[in-house]
Amino acid sequence: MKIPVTLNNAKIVLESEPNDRLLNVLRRLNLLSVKCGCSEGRCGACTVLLDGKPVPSCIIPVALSRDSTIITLEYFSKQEDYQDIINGFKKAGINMCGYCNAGKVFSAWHILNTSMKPDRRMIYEEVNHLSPCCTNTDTLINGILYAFDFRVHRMGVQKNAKN
Amino acid sequence: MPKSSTKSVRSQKTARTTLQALDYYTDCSRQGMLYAALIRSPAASGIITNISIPQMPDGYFLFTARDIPGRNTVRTQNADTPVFCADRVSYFGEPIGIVAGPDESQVYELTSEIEVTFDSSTLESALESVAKKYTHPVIKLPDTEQKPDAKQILEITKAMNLDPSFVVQPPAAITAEPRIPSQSENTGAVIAQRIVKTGLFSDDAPNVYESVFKSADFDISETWVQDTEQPSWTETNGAFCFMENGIMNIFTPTQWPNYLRKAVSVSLNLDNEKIFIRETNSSGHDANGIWRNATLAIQTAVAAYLTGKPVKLTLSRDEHQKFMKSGVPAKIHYRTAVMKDGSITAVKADITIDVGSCNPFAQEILDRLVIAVCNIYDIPNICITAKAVTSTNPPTSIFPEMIDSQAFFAAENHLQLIAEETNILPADIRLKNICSNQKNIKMPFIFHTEKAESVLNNVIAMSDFNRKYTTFRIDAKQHRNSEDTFFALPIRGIGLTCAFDGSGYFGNDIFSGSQKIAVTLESDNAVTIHSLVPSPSISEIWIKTVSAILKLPPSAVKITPDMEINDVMPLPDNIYSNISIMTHLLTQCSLEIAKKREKTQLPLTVKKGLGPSMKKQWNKSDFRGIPFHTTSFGAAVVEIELDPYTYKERIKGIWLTVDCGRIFSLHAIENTLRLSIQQELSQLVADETIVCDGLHISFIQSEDNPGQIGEIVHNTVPAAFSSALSQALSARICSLPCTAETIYSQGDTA
Repeated sequence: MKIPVTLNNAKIVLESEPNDRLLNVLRRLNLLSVKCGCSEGRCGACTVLLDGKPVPSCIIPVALSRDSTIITLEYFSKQEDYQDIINGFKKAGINMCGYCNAGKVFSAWHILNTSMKPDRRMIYEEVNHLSPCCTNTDTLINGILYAFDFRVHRMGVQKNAKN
Repeated sequence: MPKSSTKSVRSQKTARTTLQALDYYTDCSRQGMLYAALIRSPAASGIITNISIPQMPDGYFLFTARDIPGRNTVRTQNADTPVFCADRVSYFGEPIGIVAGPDESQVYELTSEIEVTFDSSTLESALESVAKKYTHPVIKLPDTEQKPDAKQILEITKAMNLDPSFVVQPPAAITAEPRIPSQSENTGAVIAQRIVKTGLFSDDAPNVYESVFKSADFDISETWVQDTEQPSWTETNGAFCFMENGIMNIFTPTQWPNYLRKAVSVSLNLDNEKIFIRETNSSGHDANGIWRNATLAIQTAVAAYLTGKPVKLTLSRDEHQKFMKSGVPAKIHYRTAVMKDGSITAVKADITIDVGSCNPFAQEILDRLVIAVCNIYDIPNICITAKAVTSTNPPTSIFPEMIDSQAFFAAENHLQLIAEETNILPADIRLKNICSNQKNIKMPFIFHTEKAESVLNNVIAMSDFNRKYTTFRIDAKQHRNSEDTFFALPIRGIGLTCAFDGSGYFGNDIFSGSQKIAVTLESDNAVTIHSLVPSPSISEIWIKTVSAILKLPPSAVKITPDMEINDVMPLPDNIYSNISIMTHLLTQCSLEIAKKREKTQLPLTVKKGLGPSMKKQWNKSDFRGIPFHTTSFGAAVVEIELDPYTYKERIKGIWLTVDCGRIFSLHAIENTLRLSIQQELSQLVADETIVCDGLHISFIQSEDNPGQIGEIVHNTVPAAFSSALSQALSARICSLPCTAETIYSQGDTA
């Protein structure tokens, strides 16, 4: 089956069985930031942005992504938002293991993007399902709050520069 | 971000720089790569008479024991295990062969089509497996004409609706199988044992046991089982192998590359120099990297060697969970003689561990359990009998970080039970029996836990344990007697535990005493620590230590694994990451450099290893002395609350106090403990992660050598949780993990 998508800002046509998992299709394209974790859509290792929302690609049949925009960490890591998140994580003392990065980074991005001022309880609700393989939830929440600070600061600087 | 490409390394010199790559083997690929899957035995025991293979499409391969170019065995310590099962099956799911091909799904399909025929003597176990609804590969029942009893068995099979063709459900989890053989049906071989007797029990006088327990005011006994396991989130085990320019390249998450290279060399009949091991990132809490991963790597290497193509074997999540269990289940029976004042006068402990079909580290696991089974309490008369038995479960490994937690689970829960029976506060029972005077110690094991009382007192004060314990006990009694089912308050319980975390065990000839480290001070004041690079937090500690002693900026210190490859790698990596021993040696190196730097011309290198005098502190033949290089000590209190109607548990608070010597980074150590607690909370109740409202961690100030803390949480929290749960439910929770159903039914009965 031919499935047209916008993958990492490039329009391409995926050729795959319709019920093949999006995770497998992306990994076959050498997008290896997408990892296979619990295979049940809970741990977050396989997270991608599908039309701007973080979703577990291990439980999404590739056919459902038809005409969608998919962003993986390979592309996202070149964005300014990513740098804010990484800076926040570093400040909180988070050393990610490399397996769960996509889930943590995209969850953080979603919180920063959808909340005017995230608080601990709200962040907890968003991230408590992620696997605690290398980072405890409290520290992750700290990291996201720091990332929010970095983002606000950067955007403020950019806005001032424009004015 | 992990690298996605792979590069073969042709010489050992280049290899040194890539020893600890941070990528994952599942990310590796090469042109023309084949995917592999294992054919596993559908029966737990028996003799294979035939393997029927479907028509193999072009480009697909099947290899079994007979195809192995070298020896079909992997030697670990003194145990031999087959690479592929040749005839007699030892456990359910034992690898019989490997299928490789270019399409992953087709490979799995072919694997499921393979039929394995067993000798009729194995029919019993075959039927057992079918009863477990394991369908692939199908078990071929013996020909009715060939065996006289087979016809009857076939009829029974049909009557029981056990014919494989009727079964359509997916394979059931093997964890459903009871893993501890009961005393009456224990048919497994005892492969390791340890008996420790002291005081009145050491003479083996007749009737001494009964007289000791009869003379006590309380004779309390119970059996405890802890078999919690970390949920598997990260990469499953496997390997990626390919031949290039006569070199076999193996990418796998091994923790013991030197051993793996030797094992591959024997099985492939290849020289050691022609095997390059690339150690990929290990998956967190997984003990299989020490030896079990080697079998998978060899199986993959055999396929790569024989096909001449790159081959990747990745276990499915299901296979990983069923066949690569990290821990060893243990059953511990305790009998204690206790006086009215709370002093324990005698302990009789029987430990049985099920090591599966094989475990080369069975003796060490058993010894560590024996050492920990009385915790740090000073008991005048002890009799500990421990044995490791084999079974038809998959082989097990050693998990150095969590090896003795089951002993603490039993000891600490039993202490709580004693407190209930004697009506003495659990804290007082512990303080009464704790070994505070090292000179008059009656126990054969000595631990450097001088601050144990301070740790206990601190956690008791922080959590207000004594008041809560008494209140909750009254509450639980009232709840039990209450007939008001309309309005009920949450049911509460609280548990206290304490445990040590020993690091640098002196009882192992191979692993202990071989650690060494070197430090070089260059003429430009740059410092190099010659060692494998440990975890980021330990690296930070090492750099801070050296920088502080030599009064140099941390940026001038670097860690480089540039020692000769054979010097560096004889031991599993986690031995090198042993913070206590290595940091101690590093400190000695740095102090010597600081002393000599003015008088000696630079560069100056100092090498240090663990001296024999240190090892002599532990008398291996008498099994007594100081078993660990350093010992951290921790105490935990867990307070839980149960919904009065659903009995859904919630942890109101966990208080943890730790004495782990000098602390280099409070932030890092606290994060580590918080992470450990969070991981622990996902193991206590099956398929649930318990919510915890508050974590309170504190440390006892100390200038002692830094100790490890990796095990403290696992050693303390499960027992504290089950004690709290027992109090809340007014029932005895003797095993973990428990289930939501168990909690509900216990609560409902109470």
